[in-house]
Amino acid sequence: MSILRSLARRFSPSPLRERVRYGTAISFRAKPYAPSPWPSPPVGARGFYSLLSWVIISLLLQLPVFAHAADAPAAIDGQVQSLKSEVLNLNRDLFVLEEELLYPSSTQVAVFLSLDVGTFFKFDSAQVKIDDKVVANYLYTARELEALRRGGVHRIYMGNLNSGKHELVALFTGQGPNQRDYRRGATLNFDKSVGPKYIELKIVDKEGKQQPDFQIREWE
Amino acid sequence: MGIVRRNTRRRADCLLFLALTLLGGTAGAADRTPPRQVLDLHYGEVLFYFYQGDYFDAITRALSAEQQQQVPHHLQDTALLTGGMELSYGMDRAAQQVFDKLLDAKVDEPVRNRAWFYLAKLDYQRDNLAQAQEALAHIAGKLPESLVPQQSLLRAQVLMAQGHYDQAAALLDGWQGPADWQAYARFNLGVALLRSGKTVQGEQQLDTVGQLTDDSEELLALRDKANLALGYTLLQNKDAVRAHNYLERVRLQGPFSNQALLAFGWAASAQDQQQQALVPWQELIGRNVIDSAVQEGLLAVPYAYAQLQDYPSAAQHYQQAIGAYETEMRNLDSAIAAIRQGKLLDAMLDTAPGSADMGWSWRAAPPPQTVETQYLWQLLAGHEFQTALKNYRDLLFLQNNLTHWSSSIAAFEDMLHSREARYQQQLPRARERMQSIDLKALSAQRDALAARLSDSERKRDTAALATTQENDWQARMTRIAGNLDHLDSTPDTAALRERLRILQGVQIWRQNADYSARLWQTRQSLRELDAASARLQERWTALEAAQQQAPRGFAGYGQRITALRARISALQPRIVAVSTMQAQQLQALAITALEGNKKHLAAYRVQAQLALAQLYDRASTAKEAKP
Repeated sequence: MSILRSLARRFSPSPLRERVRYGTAISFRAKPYAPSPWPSPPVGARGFYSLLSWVIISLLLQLPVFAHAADAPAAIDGQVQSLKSEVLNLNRDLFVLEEELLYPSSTQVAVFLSLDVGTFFKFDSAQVKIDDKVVANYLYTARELEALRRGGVHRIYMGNLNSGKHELVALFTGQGPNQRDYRRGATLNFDKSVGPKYIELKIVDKEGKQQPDFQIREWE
Repeated sequence: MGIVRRNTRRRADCLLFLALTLLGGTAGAADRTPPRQVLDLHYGEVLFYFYQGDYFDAITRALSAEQQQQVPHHLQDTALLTGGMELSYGMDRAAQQVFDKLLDAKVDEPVRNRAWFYLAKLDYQRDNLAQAQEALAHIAGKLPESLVPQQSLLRAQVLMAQGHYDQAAALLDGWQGPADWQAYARFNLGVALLRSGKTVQGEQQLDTVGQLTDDSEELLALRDKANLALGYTLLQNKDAVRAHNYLERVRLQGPFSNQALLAFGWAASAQDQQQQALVPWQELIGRNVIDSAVQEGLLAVPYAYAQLQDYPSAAQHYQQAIGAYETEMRNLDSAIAAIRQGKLLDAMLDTAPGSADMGWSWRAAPPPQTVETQYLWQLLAGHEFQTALKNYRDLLFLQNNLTHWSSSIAAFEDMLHSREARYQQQLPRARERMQSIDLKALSAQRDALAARLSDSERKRDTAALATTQENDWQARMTRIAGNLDHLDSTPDTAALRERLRILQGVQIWRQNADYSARLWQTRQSLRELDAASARLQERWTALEAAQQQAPRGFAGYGQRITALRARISALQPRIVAVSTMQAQQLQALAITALEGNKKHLAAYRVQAQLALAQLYDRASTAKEAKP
């Protein structure tokens, strides 16, 4: 008994206890708090509520919306940031080199596709023919269509052509008014000169006719 | 610092924030956002990848387009977009440089405001609150519609972080913004009011959030959180009855359910209803002991039994708690050993989705629930750990990217060599062809033809445009006339001379009649000859230029390839070295966290042992007291 009592005294609850952050949004800061209500003597309300006060403080002091990049040790984080910048710049230079090598500006032809509104035409896919040869066939995903609808422009084809006269035919497939399958084409005769040639295929809504319109435009 | 969305929402937040802030769309109505007017195709291409969340491709194309001056109409937009994407890649230093540069460059008001807003966000993230406030103060004039609510939300967050809860509450009161952000703003308002001492109003706001009706898991979690916060606040204020009412609203399964069960028991226990307290606590201890609330529940249950003077049950549960703590501590030891062996990162990255991008768009998937790996989720909840893990994962992405380029650049080199070889092979033949063509002689011939044509036109020399056949006929007629001259004049020869005269007349008449058409045709042919000569001259010049430029071009490409290869080679070992450091840091973070858990469990075990000793002591004393 006395031994047990002395044990009890020796192991009396520590006035300091740490709570660490666990897997939920409630974070328990590493702060001291008064003894827990367990075991007996019966729970000391003061101890119990001082724990709660820390809990509630932690609850109310949440992380902000955006991450604290500065949280990671500055030395490593700084090096990681610097490496990311260097790799991105290197990617840019390699990307430019790749394009220049594969598609020299004297022969370069790029065909872009854009979508304006698209109320009257549920666009699915496009085919591009140059000089009667199919050079691109592209079926768009929902995510890509959304990107197009929000103003993105897709480079559907990039290739090389000799200078002179050429013909481009674009075929657009999808659903037109009244959910009907819709397939329309547009043609452009163009002159390829010494510099790069950019051509835009554009799907626009014709409000007056309640129909889609397919345009091909040469860019300078 | 108020609330705010936790990790699960951060990616979506970031994407939404980027899309709305950079591009000025309509918040909360992405599907109604009108398309952007794109004036440069290459900027549109950047947007195409950006809107798909493919930031790496977007940023590469943006940097390339900037360098090649392909975005003259969207220079500022491209810079702003690049800065935003760099920010999403955790490159806040590069992003800051972009925004600083934009602000130095006397940009348009909307761009300036957005750049200041970004800088404020950056400063807030870095806890540079005064600078954040200063940056916000620079925002002036008309703001994009989407920026207004976000700006006031950020202002309120900065004020709360500075302890100015009254001002933050005033700003948040009546805040208008996207519907799904409204609940968060209200939660922040509740917190600001509570912290500024306006308890009743604060409770009202949190109570409203606590009664949200929504199907989304995110808002349901926010509702639980508001109710839990209210429950704890009221328990602290010794109002267990009302606390009970709020805690009752928290879902039984959710991110806050364990804490709610624990507090629910406390609320009953505080009202001296130990039997009722046992109901949530018994439910709680049946859950995974890895959770701190469950660990505490293991002590709460025997405590309640002790309060009910059911000492045998109390002793049994204390023993059960001690056993559970010891098992958990052994599991932690195994997990720590696995981390030391480097298994942690493998386990986490092996289960990651095969995303081709880095940065915000990646999150580690749930690790497999083995004894060693079940703690990884806990670690992921820690922001520091998650940032370090993302950095580590980004470094692996960079390594893969450079490995890809290493093989590509070898292909570029091969391509260049084969082009050069083909050039060297074709050069002699081309030179031979060029030497066989005398451009000057051709030009002189052309000029002579043109002169003859002009002369015949001036003299109206119809015979000059005679056809080959007419020239043959003319020659034959001249020969026949010569022969007739040598013959005596007879009726027969006279008839022949007359026929010859008629034929010559027909020839002259035809040449006169066709003269205009023939003249136009000849002029047209001359023009075609001129065009062909010009093309020949052009090709000649191009060939001459190519002969001079090609070797320089090959050498230039060769030098670029060599330089880029050197950059790749220099970066690869640096990335490996930093990856190793990052991995070590992750391991250290994980081990520190798990050691902390172990200490925590040890403390619980001591309490359980102590309580058990007291129970035995009490039982022994009671036995001794009996006669």
